[in-house]
Amino acid sequence: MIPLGDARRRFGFPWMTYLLLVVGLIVFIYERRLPLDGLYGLRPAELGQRIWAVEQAVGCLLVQGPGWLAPLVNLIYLWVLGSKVEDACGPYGFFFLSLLCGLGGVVVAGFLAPYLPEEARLYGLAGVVAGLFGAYLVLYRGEGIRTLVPPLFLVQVPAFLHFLYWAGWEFVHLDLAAVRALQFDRVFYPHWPFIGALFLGLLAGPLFARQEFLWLRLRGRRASHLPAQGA
Amino acid sequence: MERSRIRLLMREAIQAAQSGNKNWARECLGRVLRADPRNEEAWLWLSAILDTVAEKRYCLERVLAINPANAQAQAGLRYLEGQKEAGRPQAKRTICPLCGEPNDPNAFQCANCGQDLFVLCPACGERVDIDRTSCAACGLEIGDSSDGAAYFFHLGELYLKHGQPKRALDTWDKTLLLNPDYPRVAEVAAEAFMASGQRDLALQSLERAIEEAGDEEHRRALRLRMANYQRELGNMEEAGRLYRELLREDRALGERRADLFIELGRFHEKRGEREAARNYYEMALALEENLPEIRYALAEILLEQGYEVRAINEFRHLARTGGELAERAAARIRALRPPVPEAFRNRWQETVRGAGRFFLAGLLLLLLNRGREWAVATAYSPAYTLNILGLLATLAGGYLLTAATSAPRHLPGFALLTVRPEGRLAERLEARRKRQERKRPVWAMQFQVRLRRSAQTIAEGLGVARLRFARSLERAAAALSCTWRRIGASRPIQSLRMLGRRLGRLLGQARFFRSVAFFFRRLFPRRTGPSLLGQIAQLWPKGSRRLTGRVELSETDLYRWGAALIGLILVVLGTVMVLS
Repeated sequence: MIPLGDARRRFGFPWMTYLLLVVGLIVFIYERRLPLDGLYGLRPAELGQRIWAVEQAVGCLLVQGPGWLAPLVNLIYLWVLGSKVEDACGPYGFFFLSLLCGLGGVVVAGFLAPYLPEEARLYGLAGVVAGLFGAYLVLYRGEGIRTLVPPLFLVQVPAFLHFLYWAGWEFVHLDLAAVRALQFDRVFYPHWPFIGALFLGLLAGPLFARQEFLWLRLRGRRASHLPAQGA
Repeated sequence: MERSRIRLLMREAIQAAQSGNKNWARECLGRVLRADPRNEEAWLWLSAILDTVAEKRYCLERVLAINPANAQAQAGLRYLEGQKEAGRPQAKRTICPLCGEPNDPNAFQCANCGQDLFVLCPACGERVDIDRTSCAACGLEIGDSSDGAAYFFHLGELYLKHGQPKRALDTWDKTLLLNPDYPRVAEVAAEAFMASGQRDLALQSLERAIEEAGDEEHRRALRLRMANYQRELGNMEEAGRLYRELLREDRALGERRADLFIELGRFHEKRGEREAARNYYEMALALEENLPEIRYALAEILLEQGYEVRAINEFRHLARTGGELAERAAARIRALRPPVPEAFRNRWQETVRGAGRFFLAGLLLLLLNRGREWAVATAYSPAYTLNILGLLATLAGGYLLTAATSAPRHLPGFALLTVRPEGRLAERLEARRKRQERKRPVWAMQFQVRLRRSAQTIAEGLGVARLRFARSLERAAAALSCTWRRIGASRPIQSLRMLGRRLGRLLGQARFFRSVAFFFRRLFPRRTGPSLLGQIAQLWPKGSRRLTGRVELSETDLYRWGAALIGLILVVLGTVMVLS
């Protein structure tokens, strides 16, 4: 299931999303050569110990972790959700919303540190995406996400199902060696703190939305001319 | 009509004529003659009540045509001839355009062939003598009847243009009578048949026109019209086949034509295939910008598909062009983008939203900075109080900032300031305003005006430069496309072309380069609002009235900006306290 989103926008080109995507891709490529875990990769128990906590948390938002599948899934969801949330919030509102959601994930991780395994690491982009999921769910209530279901089906899938699907990618770390060795603590990677980012997104989405967007939604114009399926 | 009824009508007409009621007499006689055109008595009475010599003569001639021995008619004609020779010099003869027979200038019909010697004006319906070149009533240019076939052809076109297809067809019959090989008759006749609802005849006529067309370009245009007719008649399969043929031929020639894309867009729109219709409309507009109807249709499709921003851009483009469509486009923009009402802007939820952002950010920073230990610690610490105060300061600052900038109704004391002052305070404010006005030197005003003009000029220049640059990029993309085709068509790399053809089909060459062109267009979209420089120019006052308004509002503005500044200071201070 590959989310494609759509280009139906109300207020303009989502340049901030594309800027974040470019930065994310650069970091993704950079990380393949030189992992950032040493400085910015966040262990919840070590929050604020090596460098200043705020710096560490903001730096952590760019770190995407090892492997290539989960980071790419995160980047795809950043693209799909970001363009729509940016349309609703404006570029700067979207930027601060993403930042807050990412930080929120880190804060919750810090609070849950005693209950998480010591090996657990947090990669901040997942927090941003979780927050965007929350904002999307509240701002585009009832709207699905256009999705390519292999081989060739284009369907609208409810956003909440997408969230569950994405959470599956985040929580299950496909380390085949660990599966063979039956080390399930390495397979089920603890990303639960980012549920906090989801709730923060649900709360902060309406706070950062544009006035015009809320007004149009209040008038009930939102779905009047938008095709429901497969547009 | 029964004989008895005709007799009754005749009696009625004679009584009316004898009593001087010519109109009613003419009506009754008209009914009699429609029922019995060979009624001698009716023609005679009609000649008696008609006014002009030409009409009288016509009626008497009809009597003689029915009964050459009618003495009254002969006498009447002799009387008319005598009057004409005695009263006026000999008038110029009217030449019949069909047979060339010189006729009496007052005659209605050609004495030789029976052709009417007048036509009805296509625009106003008045009678126009055949020897006149324009209508006396409305001034419509009809043409010179001495041109023969060309005259009737042009007249038919005028009839068609003014929505009288059947009369147009009758007129073109005369064209063919004069010149059976007259060009384009079948083509225009097809249009007239189509307009009059005779669809089969329209198609047959257009097929004949296609066969007769000598020029390849003309034949293509007629084939396109045939496809359009088939589309309008609902024969979508046939129409689609014809359109595909034309498209294939154009591609083979390496040409892209806006007219075909327009019709293809309409074809797909009629079939309900919005995506394809949008695609063709966009291609047509890329080739030719000045197509307001197509742009409007494209905007509607975009709107239906949910691309609201793009649709509004198209509507805005239309709204700048002027005309009826521009007004419709402006109305659509107003409907799509209604201004947010003042009541909504000033509702308390907006203030809560604004203050909530700052509070949330402060709280997160606090928790992040202090960590878990701080939140769960029970022992009192001075830093705890400082942090809490910082958080409250952030909240208060956020409230003031939001209320001052976006929801002023919730700014404390704001309503008092916006009320117009009265009494001595008002006089003092007025006097101060006048003092300030006097102090403002003329050179400063002139400087402002010049600065504003310069900013506008620069903004316009930049806009033109941007458009030219975008156009150049488009041309470069188009040139690249042509080069690609030429390289592909040259002999030395024919083999490579054969190998790459399959891949090229997969990618779609034209689509690829079109995509490149559209990509550049998207990078440089048409400006829909004022540019940055334009906005700066708008900030400058345009006249003394605006200046007066600013002075009157300065108290309120000062209060708002002051509140915003205090809010900002509180936010910064609170953040520092939270992070300390």
